[in-house]
Amino acid sequence: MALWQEIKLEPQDRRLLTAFGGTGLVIMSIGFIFAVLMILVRTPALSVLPSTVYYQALTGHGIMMFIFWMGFIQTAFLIAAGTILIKRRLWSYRLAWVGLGTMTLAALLAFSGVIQGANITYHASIPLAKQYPAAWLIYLSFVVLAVGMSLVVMDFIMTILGAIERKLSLESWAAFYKQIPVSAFAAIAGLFIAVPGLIAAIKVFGTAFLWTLGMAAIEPGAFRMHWHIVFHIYHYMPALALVGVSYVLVEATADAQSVYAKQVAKALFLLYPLFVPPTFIYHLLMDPNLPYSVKFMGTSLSLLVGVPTVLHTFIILGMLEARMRGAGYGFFGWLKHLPWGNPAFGSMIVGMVTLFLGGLLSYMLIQEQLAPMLHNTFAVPAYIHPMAAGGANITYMGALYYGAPVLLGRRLWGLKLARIQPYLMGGALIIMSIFGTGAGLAGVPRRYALLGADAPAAWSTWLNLSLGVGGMLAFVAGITFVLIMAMTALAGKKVATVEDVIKGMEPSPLPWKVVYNRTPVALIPASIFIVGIVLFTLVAFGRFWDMPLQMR
Amino acid sequence: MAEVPLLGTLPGKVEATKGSVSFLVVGFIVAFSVMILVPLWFTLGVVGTGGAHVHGGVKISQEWFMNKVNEQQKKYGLPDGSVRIPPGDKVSVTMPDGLVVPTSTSKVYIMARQFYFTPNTIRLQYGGLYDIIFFSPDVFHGGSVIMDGSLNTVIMPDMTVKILVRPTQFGELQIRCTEYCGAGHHLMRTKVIVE
Repeated sequence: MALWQEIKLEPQDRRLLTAFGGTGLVIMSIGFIFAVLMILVRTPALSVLPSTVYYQALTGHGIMMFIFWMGFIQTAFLIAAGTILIKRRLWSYRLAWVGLGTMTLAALLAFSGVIQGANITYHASIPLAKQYPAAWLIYLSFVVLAVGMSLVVMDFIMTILGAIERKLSLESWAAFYKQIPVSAFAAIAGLFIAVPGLIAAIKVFGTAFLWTLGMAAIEPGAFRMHWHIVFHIYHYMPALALVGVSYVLVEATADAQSVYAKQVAKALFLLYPLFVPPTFIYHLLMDPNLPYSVKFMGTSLSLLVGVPTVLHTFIILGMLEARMRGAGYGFFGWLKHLPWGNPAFGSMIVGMVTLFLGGLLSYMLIQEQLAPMLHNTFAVPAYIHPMAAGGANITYMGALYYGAPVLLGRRLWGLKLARIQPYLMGGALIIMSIFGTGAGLAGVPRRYALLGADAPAAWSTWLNLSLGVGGMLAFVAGITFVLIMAMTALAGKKVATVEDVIKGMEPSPLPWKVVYNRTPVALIPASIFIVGIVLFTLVAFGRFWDMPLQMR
Repeated sequence: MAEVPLLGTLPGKVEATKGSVSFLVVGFIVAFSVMILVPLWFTLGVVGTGGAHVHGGVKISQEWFMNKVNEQQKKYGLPDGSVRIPPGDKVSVTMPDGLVVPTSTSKVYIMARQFYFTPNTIRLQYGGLYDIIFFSPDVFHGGSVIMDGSLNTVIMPDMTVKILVRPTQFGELQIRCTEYCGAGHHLMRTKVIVE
């Protein structure tokens, strides 16, 4: 309970975080509506709406979920890191509110673009966008979003600087580094890629916006590469955020603490800025304008991108193992005593499981030699959903199972429903992913409204299972989460203290029988992951060589 | 249960110990061992077999490419509107099933536009080695050759892209667009018959 007793929430922080979370949840709900519209077109057994609805919903779903929902919730985590974790007042609350207002304006611009038929997906490809009169709204929304996020990032940086007593003293910096929690350092390390990423986003999408007005020229191939650089950085922010959130959740749900050197865990976050930027090449492995040497270097370096997350996951599981063994449970026996019924804990673990699956599959896509078989097939959404909608999003939901009640001063509404929600969401995404990978290997393209009567028969079966079953269940689980959040705000029981708020979700009162610091079981998932990558790779090459159309 | 000597511990608190650090070191070794894939690629002989074969990247004009497509139609066109591209004929190799096939490549020119490919039916010879060359005069497209799986490439505007393939199964396959290109994206396809 140590963590819970330390939590202090100033009214200004409470209002700001509630506004960020609430706006984010509205955006997420819109993203879910677009998702179900896509399912209704793309599932062959349903196919009840025209193809234009699919491309419109595809654009809306990608932009609302991946760009805006993730943007809002991760910016909220940044503020929470500065205020709740580092225990500082923000440098400027006005700046943070202006940031929120700017980001909300961006979301409205993007939504307006989608509704007006800018069906260009979040790729917003050039020159395709020229054919959609409302495309300027999409580019402008990306610029405004990046500006809004930059304001909050600036506020966070100033807040951090305010926490360093003597700015020119290395000792002060070292003391700060030692003193802050591991999770808070995730936010600081993230700045090393977030800041250049945001600057690049403003430049790239600002130029694209001017291009829609006829005021700038853009070479399509160059825009494609720049888009991928920005997107690549942006889609690794969730990796840092979900790990940072997990460090909080493991302590909040199971009272587990680091058994390894905390400074090492913090330093591991710096591997992301080191490994992420040079590996954007793996998105472009099928592009004809890149020399092979660049592709080979890109694909080789890309193998490292999962390393920091694998290590963090090992540390987090090790914290759990040490705490549970310390309570006197056996070698594997501790697993069944974990707080599986706590929705925040369930979300964290399910997030890790889906991240594990998505990560395994992603390693097939980043290998240059296998990319021709998988690039632009349904294998892409089949891996990104367990990673983004699963690994990141479910973990964020876990944080909100605590965050919403604490911010609102109300108990969580529908605790019983909340207990099963993460498992439903995770199970749904696993179904979607497994059958979706089958679809991808069978050649089903991604971003494709209707298969047509001449499509191979197996394609419909794969998609019916992946989207009709998995996708639809994920939608139900997602809406369940939104319902729980909305009802908590409207009908959750009002209580006075944080201890009261989290009743039913507090860490189990485990005894401290022995001090236990060895974590062999925590090594097992990481080892299976690496062995799994090698086995999946061998199987994928077998499949590649067996194809009736050989690439020579 | 093993108790570990602590470096410094408060009641109810756990601190890093030599024991835990050794597990962390093992964790590092496990995580970084993913790099084993690089020597594995060399062992399997697959370096240069994927993206290396998606090449081309030459900026050319629409007229130049359209001439190639028209010449192809004139030279190899059949009354049913399809084109039958002969395989190359310089050097021969024996396929696993005993069939002798050429190793020199034949070129297949395919124009990709919103929302169709030209030509719309192509006949290839079983075992033949073909450089399929795509070109788009308008927007990004995808060139995905589909037959129980797919081989994909990206077609960039005003630029050629080639994939080198050898059909090893008789029957019909398709080429579809796999890079979102607008409202009729899912309608783009060409029939390929392997004879």
